[in-house]
Amino acid sequence: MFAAERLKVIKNLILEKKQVEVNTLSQLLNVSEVTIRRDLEKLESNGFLVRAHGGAILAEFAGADPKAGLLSQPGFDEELDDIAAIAARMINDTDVIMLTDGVINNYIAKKLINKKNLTVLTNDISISLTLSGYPFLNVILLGGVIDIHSRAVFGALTNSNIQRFFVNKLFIEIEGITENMQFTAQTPEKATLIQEARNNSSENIIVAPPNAFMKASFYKVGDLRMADKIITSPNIPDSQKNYIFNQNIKLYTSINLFEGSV
Amino acid sequence: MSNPIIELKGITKIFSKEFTLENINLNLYPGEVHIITGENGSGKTAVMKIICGIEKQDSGSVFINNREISLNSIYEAKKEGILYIMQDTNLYYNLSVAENIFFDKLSGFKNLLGINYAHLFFDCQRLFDELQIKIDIFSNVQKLGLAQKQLIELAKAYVSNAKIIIFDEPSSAFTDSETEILFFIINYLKSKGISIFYISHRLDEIVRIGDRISVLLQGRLVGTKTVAKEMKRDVIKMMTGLTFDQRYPKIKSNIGKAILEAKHLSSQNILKDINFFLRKGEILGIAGLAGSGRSYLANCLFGAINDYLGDIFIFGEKKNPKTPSDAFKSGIILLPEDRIECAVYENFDALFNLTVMSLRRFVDKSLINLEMLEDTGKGYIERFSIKPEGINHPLTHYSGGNQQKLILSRLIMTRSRIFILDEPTRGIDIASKVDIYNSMNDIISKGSSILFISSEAEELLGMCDRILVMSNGKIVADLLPGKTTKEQILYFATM
Repeated sequence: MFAAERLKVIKNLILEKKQVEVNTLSQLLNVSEVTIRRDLEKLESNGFLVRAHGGAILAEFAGADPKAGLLSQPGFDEELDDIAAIAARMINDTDVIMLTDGVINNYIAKKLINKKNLTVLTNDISISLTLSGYPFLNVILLGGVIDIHSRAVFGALTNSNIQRFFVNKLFIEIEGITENMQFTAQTPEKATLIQEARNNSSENIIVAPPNAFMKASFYKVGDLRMADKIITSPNIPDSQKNYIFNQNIKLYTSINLFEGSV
Repeated sequence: MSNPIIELKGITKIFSKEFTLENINLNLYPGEVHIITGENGSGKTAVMKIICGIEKQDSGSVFINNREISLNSIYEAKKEGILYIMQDTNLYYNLSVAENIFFDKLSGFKNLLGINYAHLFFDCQRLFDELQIKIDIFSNVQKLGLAQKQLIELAKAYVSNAKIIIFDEPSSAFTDSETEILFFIINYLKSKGISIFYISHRLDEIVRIGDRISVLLQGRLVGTKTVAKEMKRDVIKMMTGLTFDQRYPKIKSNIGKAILEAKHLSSQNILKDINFFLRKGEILGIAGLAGSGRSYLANCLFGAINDYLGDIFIFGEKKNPKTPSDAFKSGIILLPEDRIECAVYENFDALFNLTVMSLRRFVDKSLINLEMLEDTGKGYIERFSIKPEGINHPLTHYSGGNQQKLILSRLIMTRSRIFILDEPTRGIDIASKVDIYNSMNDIISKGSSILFISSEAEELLGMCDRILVMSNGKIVADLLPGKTTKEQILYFATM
């Protein structure tokens, strides 16, 4: 098979499946993995796909960042997407969940579109938009004052709104975690929102990007014991992994080593 | 107190840019157990190697009975009465258990005329009865598991004439019953006035046998303290009072049909009629004491031991692997119990160790495409946060936990379908443990399966979908973690 022909096959396959694996392509086309990788590099430089661990993802699919349209925040962050993938595995079809505002929670939302009879409560406008077009999902957007930076709603109205719901899983996105594992928020409104939400949930799951660790914001949300589970990247300091494990709390890290798709 | 039998003054050595020992001052009194502890990679073993003449310090001195010594080899150390029981056991694999134990005593002029074997075996059996060690004295060391090898090393220390004994994590493979033998031996040695440096991470050991404790951190001595009675009481209370069963990051997976099945597997009177199956996406735990046959079973499944009866089905086909290569081709891969002996290429770099099983993937017109090899290797090291970063450090620069992560990455790079992990978290630091649990989640979420062998009942309960318990070469229980306690597992394991 000529190179041009091979590229066409790869293109068609990725258009159909949205993502492909080097290993599968190599067996399918009967060429070495090295050759496949070169082909993928070529297609990446054309902007057709984005290479990922052990394979590639269709560019428009990967780049379809949930907030891109709203927040002009282009680019696909594989690390955050991997964190979201772990969270999504914890969500079952008939769950009632809440996603607080935040980038990772937006990635999580994108992974929920095939769930059945899932109820999602959120204060994040773009999360509600992402999920709004699917008939098998119940989406509830809390009311309140829109914050222009996060494009989410906060304030007294939101807090009293939350009181009306009870969720079985609350995904709290945290941007600042101090060295001794205190969770913090950048605004008092966000800190209060999380505290209110916590009172109305049975399981609290903290999601945090790796750069949230060893970084304090001004407003305190709570300490480590408020978390039932923590999901983050493996690239956090060893000392923090130690601390969490010794406190008898589950630490999930988004290790994505095995080449292949879920 | 009398004079110290051994004293280290200002020991300094530069091993590499990342790792130096700085101004280490330590001493050891007759009849004392001095615990050396610290994180992986903090320099515990390095200091001991200097005492034994395996490494030479850049500056500083070692004194024995106030006499400065300069040792050039472990042989010279032996002559000074120093015995070093290393972390990776140092036995003669083709000799019998009895020969190994008395090896140092056999090496004499009079034995050139012939060894009195009847006497040797008699002495050894008497010793084992006294110490309550249940190992066949005639068997080749090769056939033994790591815990049994460590017991033999202990027995060697027991019969040696050494004045100073260094134990480097001697009990990493031990379960409770073996630990009792260890404590018995240590107390006996102490009563004979022998001095002991004891490297350990285990808090229960530290408080039970330690007289003093020194902590190392990044090649520096943080401090030395007496192990106080109150501390012992508190720590033991803390250790028995709490259970830490909520900290294992178990993730739900989609479990499919059986992909590995053993039917009527028996071998050498060590395995007796083993029947079990492992399903797609499942973590199946195997609990059992050392010597219960769990590692032997792993080696049969991987074809490393091939004199078994019965059948092994892989993806529904009868395969009965006769070599590791057979097993590997069918999609089985093994993380061996004894990492240092069986998995690590110590003198090669991280990239070699990482990619050695997957080189075929990088073949480009009958050569290896180095650029792609390095690129892929770097990706794995970053994704698993293996430290130090970079691909060209020799394996000796990595701590035990990071070595284990590298070896597990090597396995994952092969994209095998059935992972047999034999004690993957034993003796490694907590952060690496957490990483290894999460990489197990990664493996099953991509549709592969794991046979997880462990002595730690808690981690099996935390991570597995099902748990089999082995005892005396048989599977004696098939348990569901949600409905099982640590005590139940122990009950079946000691049946």
